Amino acid sequence: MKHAKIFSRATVLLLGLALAPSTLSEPAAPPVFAESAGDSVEEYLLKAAFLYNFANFTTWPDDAFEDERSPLVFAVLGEDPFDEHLIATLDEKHINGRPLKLVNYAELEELGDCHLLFVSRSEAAHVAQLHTLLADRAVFTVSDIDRYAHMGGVARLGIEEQRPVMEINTSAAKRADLQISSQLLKLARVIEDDT
Amino acid sequence: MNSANERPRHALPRRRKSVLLALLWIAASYPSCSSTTICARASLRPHIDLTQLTLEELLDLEVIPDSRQPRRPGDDRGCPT
Repeated sequence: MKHAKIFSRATVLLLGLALAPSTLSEPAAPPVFAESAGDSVEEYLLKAAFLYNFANFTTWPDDAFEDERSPLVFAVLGEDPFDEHLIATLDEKHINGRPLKLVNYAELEELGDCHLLFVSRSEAAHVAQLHTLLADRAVFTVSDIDRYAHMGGVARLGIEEQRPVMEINTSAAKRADLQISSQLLKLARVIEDDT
Repeated sequence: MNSANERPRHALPRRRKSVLLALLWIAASYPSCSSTTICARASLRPHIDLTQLTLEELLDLEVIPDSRQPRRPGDDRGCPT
């Protein structure tokens, strides 16, 4: 009898423990956004993937890095719309053997060294000032501000009819001494500066 | 000499032994954090890695617009024109 009682307590305990790891260690299932063609995906999760690809299809001049092991630095200027999408996208990845680093600059005055700079919409009023500041620096500037590529930015990520659109200003890329792969250019709209 | 009801001194009571085994099993089942960085990463929301897709596949995805971003003239952001 006593053995039976102990057995039943042990059974309850073990059952409880067996269920515990699956309920406690795994977070609630996220909203499912499929990841194959034609499916829907959150705007800034998708834009984070495009930023990674922009860096992957671009060659910076050697002197843009301190040495062969220096990280490729991504930066966001202004209000960060990515939440954790960008840091999660870049996490533990390398491009051409370089680790990736992410920095946030709240305002233009704080801007430091970086290789790919996402300009938040909150900085729309400071675009001309930014481009003057970056005039002789090898920085891939990208934004979703309207007509950003026409305004001298290297790339704009837009949305048209619910699909992503890439615009690339090849003159701006050339001024920044960046080589953009033809593989990327053939899928983008090539833009000229506004005159 | 031990009588039949006596347990050797080094032996744990059966119940305590099962609790210990259960605790060991839990410890082995939970994901471990070898550093604070890894633990911090584990707290990130589960993430879909779109970098595995080609550019063509990314361009073919339908965008769920971020409702927090203000709309501006000229930016249809998925609205019918």
